Amino acid sequence: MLYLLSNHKMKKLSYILIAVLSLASCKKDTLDLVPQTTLSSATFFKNAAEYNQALVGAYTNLRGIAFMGIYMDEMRSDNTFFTIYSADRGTSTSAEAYTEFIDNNISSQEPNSPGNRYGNDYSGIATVNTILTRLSKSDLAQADKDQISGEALFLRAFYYYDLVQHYGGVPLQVEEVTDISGAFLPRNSADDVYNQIVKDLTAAIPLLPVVKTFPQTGRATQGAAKVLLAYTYMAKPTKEYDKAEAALLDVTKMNYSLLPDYASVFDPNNKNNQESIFEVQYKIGNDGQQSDFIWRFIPKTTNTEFILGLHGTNARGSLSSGGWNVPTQEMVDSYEPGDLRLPASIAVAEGTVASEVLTTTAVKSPVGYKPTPGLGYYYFIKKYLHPPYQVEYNTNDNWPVFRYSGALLLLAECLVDEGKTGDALLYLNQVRKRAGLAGLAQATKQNVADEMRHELAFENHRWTDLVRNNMAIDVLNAKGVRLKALYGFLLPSTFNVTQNRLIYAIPFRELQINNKLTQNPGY
Amino acid sequence: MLILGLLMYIPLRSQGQVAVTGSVKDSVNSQPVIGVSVSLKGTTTGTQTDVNGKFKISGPVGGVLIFRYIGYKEQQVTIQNTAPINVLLGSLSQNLREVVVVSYGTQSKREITGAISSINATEVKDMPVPNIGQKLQGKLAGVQINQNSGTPGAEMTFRIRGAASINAGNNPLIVIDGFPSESGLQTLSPDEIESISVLKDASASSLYGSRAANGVVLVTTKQAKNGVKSLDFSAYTGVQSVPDRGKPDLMNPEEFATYKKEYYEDAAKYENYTGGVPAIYQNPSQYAGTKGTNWFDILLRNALTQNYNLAFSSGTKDLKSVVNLNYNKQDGVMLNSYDERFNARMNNVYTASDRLTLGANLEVSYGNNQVVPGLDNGRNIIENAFLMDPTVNYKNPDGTYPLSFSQPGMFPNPNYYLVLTQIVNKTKAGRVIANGFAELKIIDGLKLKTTINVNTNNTTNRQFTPSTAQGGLGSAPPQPATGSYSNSSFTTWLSENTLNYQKTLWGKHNFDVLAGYTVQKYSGENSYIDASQFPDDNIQWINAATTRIGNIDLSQPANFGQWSLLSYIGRFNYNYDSKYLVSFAFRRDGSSKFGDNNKYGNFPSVSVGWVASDEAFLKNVKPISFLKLRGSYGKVGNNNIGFYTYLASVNTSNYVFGDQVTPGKTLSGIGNNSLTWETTTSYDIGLDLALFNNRVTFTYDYYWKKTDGLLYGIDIPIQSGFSTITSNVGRFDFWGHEFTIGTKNLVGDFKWNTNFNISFDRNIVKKLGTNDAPIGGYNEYWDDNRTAVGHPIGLFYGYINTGVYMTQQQFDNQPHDATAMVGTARFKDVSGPNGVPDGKIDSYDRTYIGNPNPTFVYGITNSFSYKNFDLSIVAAGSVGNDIADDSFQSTENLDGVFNVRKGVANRWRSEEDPGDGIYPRTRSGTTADFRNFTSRQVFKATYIAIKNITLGYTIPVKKTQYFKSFRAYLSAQNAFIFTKYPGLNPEAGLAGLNGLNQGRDFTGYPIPRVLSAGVNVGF
Repeated sequence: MLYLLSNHKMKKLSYILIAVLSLASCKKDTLDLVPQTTLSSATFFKNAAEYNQALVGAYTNLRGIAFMGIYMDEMRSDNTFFTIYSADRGTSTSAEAYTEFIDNNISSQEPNSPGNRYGNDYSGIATVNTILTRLSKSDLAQADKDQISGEALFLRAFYYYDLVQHYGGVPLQVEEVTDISGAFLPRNSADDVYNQIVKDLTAAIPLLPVVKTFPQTGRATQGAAKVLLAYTYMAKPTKEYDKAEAALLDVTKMNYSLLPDYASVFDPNNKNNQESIFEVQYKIGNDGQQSDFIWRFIPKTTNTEFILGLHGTNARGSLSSGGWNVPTQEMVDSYEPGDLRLPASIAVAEGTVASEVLTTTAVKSPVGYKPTPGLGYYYFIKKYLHPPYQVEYNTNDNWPVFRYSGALLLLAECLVDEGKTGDALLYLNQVRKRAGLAGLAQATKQNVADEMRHELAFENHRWTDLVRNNMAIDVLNAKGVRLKALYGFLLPSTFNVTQNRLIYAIPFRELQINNKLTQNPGY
Repeated sequence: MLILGLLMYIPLRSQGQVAVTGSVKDSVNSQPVIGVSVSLKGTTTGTQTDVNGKFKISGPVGGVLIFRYIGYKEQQVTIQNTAPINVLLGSLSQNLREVVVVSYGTQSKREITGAISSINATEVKDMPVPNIGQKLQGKLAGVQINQNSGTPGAEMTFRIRGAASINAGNNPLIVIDGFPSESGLQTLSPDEIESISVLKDASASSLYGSRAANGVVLVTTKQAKNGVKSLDFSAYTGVQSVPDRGKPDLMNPEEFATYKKEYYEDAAKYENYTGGVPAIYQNPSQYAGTKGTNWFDILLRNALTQNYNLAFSSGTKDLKSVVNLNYNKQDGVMLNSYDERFNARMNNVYTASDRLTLGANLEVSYGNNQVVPGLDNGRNIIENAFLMDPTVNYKNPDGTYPLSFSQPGMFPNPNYYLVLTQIVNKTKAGRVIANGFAELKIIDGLKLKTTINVNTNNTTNRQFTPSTAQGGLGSAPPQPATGSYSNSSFTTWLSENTLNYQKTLWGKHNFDVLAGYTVQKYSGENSYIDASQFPDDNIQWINAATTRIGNIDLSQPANFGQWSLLSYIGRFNYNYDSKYLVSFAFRRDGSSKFGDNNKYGNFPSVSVGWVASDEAFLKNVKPISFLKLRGSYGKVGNNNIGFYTYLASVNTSNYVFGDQVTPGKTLSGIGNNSLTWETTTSYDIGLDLALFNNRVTFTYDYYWKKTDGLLYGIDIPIQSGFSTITSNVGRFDFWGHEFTIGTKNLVGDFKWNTNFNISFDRNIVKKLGTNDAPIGGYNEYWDDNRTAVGHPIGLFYGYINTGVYMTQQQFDNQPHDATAMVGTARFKDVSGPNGVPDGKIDSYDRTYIGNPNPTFVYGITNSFSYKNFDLSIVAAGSVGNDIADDSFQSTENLDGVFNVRKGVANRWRSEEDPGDGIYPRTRSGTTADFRNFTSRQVFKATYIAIKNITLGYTIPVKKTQYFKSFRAYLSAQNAFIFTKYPGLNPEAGLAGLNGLNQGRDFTGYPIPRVLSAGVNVGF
């Protein structure tokens, strides 16, 4: 009988038992668990398809720049301001601070701020750096390497250009950061950054395609790279107008042309049209790819359906509300009579105003607009108004970055700077003609800048154009005088525009963490 | 199969022996000793004494019976004949006979060498609370337990010996019947719990290795006792209400209308405002004497709480079984909230033979909860409601409710009464915790135990917000209804195999050796469907919605994914005559959570003890009944850093090309293959003392520990593309003193016992990140705590408010910032970029303005009994810590958009009417400074709370066939709180007791006072 087994045998059995139990649960791979819902860095970057997916990721940061440009470029300039919403002063130290020139080193960190432009640019740069660092060690086909590195280099140049324009000389990170020490670099000079941009674009241009068919896809092209290169030569401390002129002349030979109708350039049905050189891509729908600009640009209103054809909430005190980027009266008045771009770019919403919120009763053209007695009105940007919409804050509009008309005007500016005003006039009048205006007899720095202001209005160019042309300080101080007369809420300390204010503060957090960084003067 | 195989080895009967009976009694008080192990030396034959201390065993004449019981000296008796053998067992110590649950077993209190606090559930049985944690408040030295929220079904937060981590949390490991399970304490009914042990130092907890750094809470559920059969019923029901103390002191309708009127007058005077005073505020006196709406009180109610428990317990030699059935329902003091729980537990132990014991514990529970989400967060329903204009009525005279309010110059708002009462957020959870074990006695003293444990949870959640409750601050209804439906579940299983050998050699050398191998795995899954664009409010389920979007929720990493842990454990306990004690323990953990370079870690500990009172030189010192000195050293870890943190995952990052969505991917961070657990190394020295025949007991512990290799996302320059890299950098040091004193003040008819404990916990930050960059405190509001090297953890960081620039001259002569002017808030110029005051107010002037770490926390329990009456009073408190009332950010908002504190009436309006120098002017664009996080919002949180008062009466019933005992009691929970803190709850904390973000009060779900009555009946 089994129960007669001796203790000795019992022991033996126990050992077997322990062994069995242990083996049953001891598998070598017990501890090797990887996420099942996402890929991980260990397994990614194997083939051209994956490199291309990473490249797609590098484009997404363009959207952040388009968004932050509203506050940091357009509203900082003389084109627009905002409608005060007294009920919510939580944004006053951030979004509003940019346009009032009282922003400080923590403005970008405030919970209600438009976000950290600095970080967004570097995020795009890091994505590109990872691609380029790994691509160089990969065994992809040369054609794939060329295509991927061409676009990647363009994007890196684009993000660095955005940084140097807004923050001055910033640290040059051009390798993938794989450990902590690689993240702590000091600032480079603005010249270093511009040189890197030129270097990247020079390398990218031969690798990038010249667009032949329209609509384009929205990927980087040689045309976009050349326009960016021209901006770079014209913005850097030591200008190289000849090189800018050459690049822009190349662009004029690249299949681009102006669309006959100015307003149709911005129609989502014409995305990436023949006039488009580079634009930030969006798509309406549930994929999370939508834009929402118009919802922020119309007045805070109780009945959005009047303007947008869909009821939604935009009368609240946050950035995702209406009342931002509102054209100033001076901007409206600055259009020449007959300029077709005015009614295409701006509209007036009229109605009753209670607590700074509009109940809209009419939408009118700003051309010859006379306020109706007893009613309030607000201007708003119309360029991106393309109803119908199905869902709030979900629109199909792309954001223009470089357009052919802008390239022509940049060429005109370049030629004026070189003293070739006659040549400049040709390009200047080409743009004026499409706007329904008579040709000018002379191209000057001022009238090229004015033309650019109206042609590229509300496309986030005005601020950097003013800075590049050394017009920012005078123009913005004048804006301050006008607005202070209008708005009692503006504090005495606002609109003190000095040389120091031409670039923004490096975010405070960065200085605290990386003691190799120094702050821009005046912050 | 294995177990079946084992069953075949059970000896079925014995031959040629005599039956011996007898009893075992305590040598001092002659009480029967229950559960004494009686075994026949040299064989595997054995039994236990029953409830009357009696035993029955077979053995040959001349055989030796060994009597063993924890806390007593072993005794051997030779069988002479069949005459009864009556044994008087001498205890090792009068005091420390008590057996305490420790890691992987039990140990007599006398022999414990680590730092363990324990409590028997019967000591806290009458508190009308659904969570055992609430009962433990103030009871255990070194264990801080806070109730951060009064939300029905909310967990308590625990912090043991000041534990803190940066990202890995400071919640202790909860071990239920030996199983580190995932269902929290809230899922257990306190009525099924037998005891709680808290393992505080590394030597006590090192057998839990990489999960023990925050301490370990061992929960043991009730088991039947041999020979005891009982049927007990208990019930209580109580009323909960919110005391008035601490409710925000805001303006009444007349005061508010006056303030608004003046606001517009000042805007006209200073800002060219031309709109005039809105009609409803032009004549504030029209509101004189009207109550308007008290927006806080209309959200509250008196709510019922109830609990019913039926327990049956039966212990025989072959089967010990407990069935515990519990129903608990707590209605919330805020409208439309409740938590309901049903627990059924069955614990069985079968003695299959004298070699083999089998057991199974099974708990099935069901939870049903409705609480409108986000009530504990700032700027949510509670706070948004009390910030409303008090002049409006939430209810129309005809009994209907307005849908929304849009008062002049204020945000459009929904009617928060409707928001609170109409939002559906139902969570239903089914949970199972099961433990099964088989224990085989291989030879005398050597036991093999194998256990399988499973914990599962399946939760469904359904939300629906009708169009009439849609919206919040800044967006008023009606807007289309929204809803969602989600499902989440987890399973964790644990397999443990241990060998335990207990042996006494040469009379006085006692060995207890444990070795084991364990594997645990966890996996969690979830999915959700968000529904929007409901055509109307009629159907609340997502099928009615026009748009439904579903996905997996990866935002809560613990809800999705897997981890596994593979470990070896070993322990060696030795003592000489129960006088010189030494213990070595060791665990080796392999974890899936860590990088390839550091998959395994070792957690050793050693502790020693010396029972000095057994030495000859102390034996004659009469007052000292017991004295033990202890010391320990060990290492434990904290592995709560997410499941796959060492890998940089690749996230979706799509874009559009050619007007088509194009798949894109982006790295989520910088991976780190060297990631491993945080290591806490600790020392503890302690002393246990009993005086005057145990009338006074005293325990003291001093500990010092360092947590090294803190796991956190070190802030790195964003120029790397990422803001953090998760790494093992950082060190916190902790030290503290803990005292526990128990006294029997009065014995006899009138009994009075006092238990007092007090803990002094300190910490300091030694190392952080690459440049020791501080954590937190970068933003001007909603970022209140800063953890920086050289300071305690989580200090409050902000500006120092020094009043108001009362005159233009003051403004001109004193430092100020860009948005300041005469009449605005004034701050101290603390520093500048170069470390010295620079005459400007900016971010360099933010500094340390408060310390949320208590100087000490304490608890005191007094229990009295006289004849059939018993009374106990539990008090707990905290001294020296600060708390931030984040509601000030809104209740001192001077933009005219919220109701404000009464004091705002005395604000600056002009140099001629400068107010009280506390409240600045309402000039737009200047007001943010005042409400940013400043010293104004930091308060002393010192408090003493009378947590519970219970008065009981045991009704003398004659033992009939129906009743054995009957006791009734009245109990008041959260009876009183004494504090100077102006807010509701000095224990509040949005982030619980998390060291880095502690002490922030967002006026969350208020904590009710509970008045209840209950009965305990034995049948």
